[in-house]
Amino acid sequence: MRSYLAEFSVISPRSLDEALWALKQRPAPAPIAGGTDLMVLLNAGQLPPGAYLNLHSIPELRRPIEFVNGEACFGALTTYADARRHPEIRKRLPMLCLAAREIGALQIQSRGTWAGNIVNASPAADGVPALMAYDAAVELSSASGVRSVALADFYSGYKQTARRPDELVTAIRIPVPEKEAVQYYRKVGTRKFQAISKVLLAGIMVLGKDRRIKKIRLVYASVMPYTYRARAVEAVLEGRVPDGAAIKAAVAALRSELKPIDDVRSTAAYRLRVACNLLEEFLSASSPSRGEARRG
Amino acid sequence: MSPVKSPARPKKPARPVKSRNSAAGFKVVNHNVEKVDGICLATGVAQFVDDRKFPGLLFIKFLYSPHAHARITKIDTTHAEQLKGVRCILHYGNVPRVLHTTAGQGYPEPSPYDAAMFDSKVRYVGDRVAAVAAETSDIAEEACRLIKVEYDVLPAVFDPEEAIKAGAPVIHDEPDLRGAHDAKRNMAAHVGIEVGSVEKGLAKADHRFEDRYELGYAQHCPIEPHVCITYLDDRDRLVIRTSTQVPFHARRICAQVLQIPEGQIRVIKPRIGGGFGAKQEVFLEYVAGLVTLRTRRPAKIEQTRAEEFYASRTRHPHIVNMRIGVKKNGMIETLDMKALSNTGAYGTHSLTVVCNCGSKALPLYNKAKNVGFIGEAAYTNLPVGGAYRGYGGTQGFYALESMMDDIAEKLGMDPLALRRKNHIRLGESSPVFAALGEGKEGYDQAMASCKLSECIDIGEKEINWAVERKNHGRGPVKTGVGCAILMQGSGIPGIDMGGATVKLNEDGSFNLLVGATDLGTGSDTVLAQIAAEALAVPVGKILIYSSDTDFTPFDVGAYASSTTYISGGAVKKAAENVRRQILSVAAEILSEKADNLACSDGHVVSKKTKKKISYRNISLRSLYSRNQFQIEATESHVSYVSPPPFAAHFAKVAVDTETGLVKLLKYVMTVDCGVAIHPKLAEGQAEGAAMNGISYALTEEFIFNARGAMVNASFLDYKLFSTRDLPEMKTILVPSYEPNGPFGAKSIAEININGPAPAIGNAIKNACGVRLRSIPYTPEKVLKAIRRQSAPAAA
Repeated sequence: MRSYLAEFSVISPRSLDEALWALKQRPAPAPIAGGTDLMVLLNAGQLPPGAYLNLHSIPELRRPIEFVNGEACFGALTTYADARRHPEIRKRLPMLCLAAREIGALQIQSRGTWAGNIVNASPAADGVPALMAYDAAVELSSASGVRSVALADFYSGYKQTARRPDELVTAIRIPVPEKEAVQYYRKVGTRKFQAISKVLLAGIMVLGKDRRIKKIRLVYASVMPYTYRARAVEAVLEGRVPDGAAIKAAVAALRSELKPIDDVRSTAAYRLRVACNLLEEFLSASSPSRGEARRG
Repeated sequence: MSPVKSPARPKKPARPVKSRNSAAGFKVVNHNVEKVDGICLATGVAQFVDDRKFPGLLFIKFLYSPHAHARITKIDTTHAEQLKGVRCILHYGNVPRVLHTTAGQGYPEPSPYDAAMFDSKVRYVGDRVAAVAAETSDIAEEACRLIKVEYDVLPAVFDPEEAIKAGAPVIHDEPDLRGAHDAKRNMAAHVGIEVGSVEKGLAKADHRFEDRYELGYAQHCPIEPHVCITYLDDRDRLVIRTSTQVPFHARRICAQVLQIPEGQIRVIKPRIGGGFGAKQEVFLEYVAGLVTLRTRRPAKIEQTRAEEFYASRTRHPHIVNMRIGVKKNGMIETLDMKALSNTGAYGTHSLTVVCNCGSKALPLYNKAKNVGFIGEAAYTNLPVGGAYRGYGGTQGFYALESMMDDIAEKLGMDPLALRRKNHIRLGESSPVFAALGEGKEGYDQAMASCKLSECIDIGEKEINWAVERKNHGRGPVKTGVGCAILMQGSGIPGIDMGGATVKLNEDGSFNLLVGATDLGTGSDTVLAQIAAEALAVPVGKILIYSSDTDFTPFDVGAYASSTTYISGGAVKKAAENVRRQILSVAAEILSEKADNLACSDGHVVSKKTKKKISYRNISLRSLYSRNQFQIEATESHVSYVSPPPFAAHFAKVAVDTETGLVKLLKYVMTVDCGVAIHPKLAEGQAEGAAMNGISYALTEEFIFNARGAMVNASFLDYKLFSTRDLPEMKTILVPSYEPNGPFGAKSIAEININGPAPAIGNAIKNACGVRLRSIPYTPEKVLKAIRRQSAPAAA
């Protein structure tokens, strides 16, 4: 039962200022970029009627991927396909390419945006975990100013985000990790492609010369009600050599930290078990293997 | 319903008479000719149901029950009727109550008459409460929301084992119900046979095996959903343009429900985007038909994908309890199967599907002296089962072929050796054929063609059995191989009938009119090839027109793997009759005996004088000049045997013991379908069926909430295998010659859907030692089983 189109209006601002002014209205219009999430709801008759803000008409938002000060900068309209095609992204931020190819089919990848993936706040988002593992920051603009929020602090609950209704994601800044970082991205789904994940782990680990963990990021999708950075486990691991004992301690910490969800795609028990197995697999990959992430 | 006596059969069943025993020498048959509808399908010219525009078309939408079991106490359509653009609302209060079955089967149908167009009681979430016809589909949907319905909600039952226990809510308590076995116990159907003595046989067996196997719901997911358009013709007859597998049954069932004569209805089947059994059901056509009769406007119903899942038809879930008694040397002596089918809210195909669970699988190991089978079908407050490719065979072979590997393991035998020792062979029969048919007793038959041993041998080499069986790889990902062997049937013996008409035109072309139904299966091409071969012309000279009840002879339709074998038999007979007429006219012209003449490449040739006369000249003479008549013939075909095709399936899997993911690496099918009339299409049928079965074995499942509502009714959460998920697939046709089939052919449509569940299950067992007895083999299930297996060791 498709939504009734006459109940919807679309605002197409001609500048960023105009867009930010429009967002001050109450209720605020919902921004629409690729529409790959909203159109599904529209077709199912579940999209709330009202005003939507078309981002494609805003010239300031249409800009290519840039590298500034060791950071990649995505715009509000940067698509998965843009990232997949970008040679520097492929080389320096390989998990983004792996994530991009997990998202839907080519049509979706050409339409869907990274900013949309962040704001939609699905616990099963394929793009967000990779961004979060890279310590990405979200630039939020409103008529009253610009602020930056670490993606890891962006979510507080199911569909709960730091974005105020009058704010627009205008950039995503992604620091390029250390050369020796071990990167891991693995999605477990019902079938190989075009399936929403049951469990997903994006991880980064930097080892010191003494083989102790200098830095580690562990980000899970589809396990908790929102994309989840397992900080407690990270704390357990930091400063330790990732040997059998450390792995055992990390798995035990993960077991108590995660409270997995139960839904149509999988069970809590399965998610917990596989989340632990993926962690073990990641930590066992001792040698730096840039871009060589496994896929399930 | 208990088995009824079969009608008297001819004293001598058809036996092989022809001396021919191979495909050698065929000119058209057994060749990959161009598909007759290939170009028009590829260029988008071919018309499907919804490709024709009808001025004034009304759109029909349904209001569905939100309750699994409830009585409708009040229905108020006032607001809905006031909505601008609403033209007609149907519900139980304003349509005739005619109990019928929606199963498109032969008459009288072996399914209970337990369904009304609309009833005052709803029996599952998705049962129809009302239909609205309006100027647009949006208006029709909006009007559905405006209908006010009050329900008296009743207790519901979702588990078939609970449903047949005393005290369970009675789902069909209507007094006018007919044909259900025991409605008070929610038992839609029951059948039981015993050959020899099962209990005695098991008691004295060296080894006894007993286990329980479960298969769940699945939907056919044809690329084209159910769609039909109805309108009145110039003489006020009701025309039904529909995506059906059974045009003639659709006409009969619509006549029954609408209470008008069959002659007042014409059913047209245009090009169809797949059916797989889902379209062997007649449940939309009469609703659209009634709207058209009431409004005199054309009307259309097109189901959404969600409706396809929860409101059309599904595979009957089964619980199969299997017992086998074996001698030390591996000889199977006793086979006992007890199948409980969940038919959902209505009993469509309930008896026949559960019958086939036994009748298709049990003859495979025909050395067993004691064979028992009990089939029961329970009503539950869940979606409705129906015909689905495999039709019970899928369920039966899953239990049988999974247990065969457990037996082999226990006896320390190779699974292939155990199968070789026991499987049916050329010239042999099984007592099951006579004891158990589809809904009644069957017909005895001896295998007139069987290359099952060769199928096993070839597949064994192709999958590299001896090596792969022992090679499981290192690390957390384990590999393994497994197999399953299969047989099916070709049509329903003594029931399925097809008719064909062939007539000669001036240019030496022939119209071939068949009731048979091409759903994308390629049967129009295959039947044209059979006619072309018999008439000694290229296939381009055959103009096939199929499935229009006004113009073509009767045919039961496309189901039970019958079209090539049954309808093809009729086509061959009609073409041979026309060939005899051509020869007799030629004999007149050439003043020779017809016996001395032969047909070759569109001509009649004298064997003595080598004189030639073209079909064109023969046609011109018979139509316009001397002893005028239309050269044409209509012939029918029924068979009292149902020659089984045979197959061996081999799967190689990789099981990730960390995530439980099963990856299918290679799939090999070796298939004996007699002479493949069109080898490429036959391979396509085999691969399509296997893909369908692989998807059912690994990912497809219906997930219900506590109220009995399906919660994953979309392709977002109900995952079919796509081309990217496909393994390396190898299909090998192993030629044989079936003397009862047209030009040596047997069926191939269904058999190959039955292999993946047992073959993959056996491969998983070989890979990681875990035996799963329910499908789909989801990562959750596999991982749990692996954990359970390793738990005692860890503890």
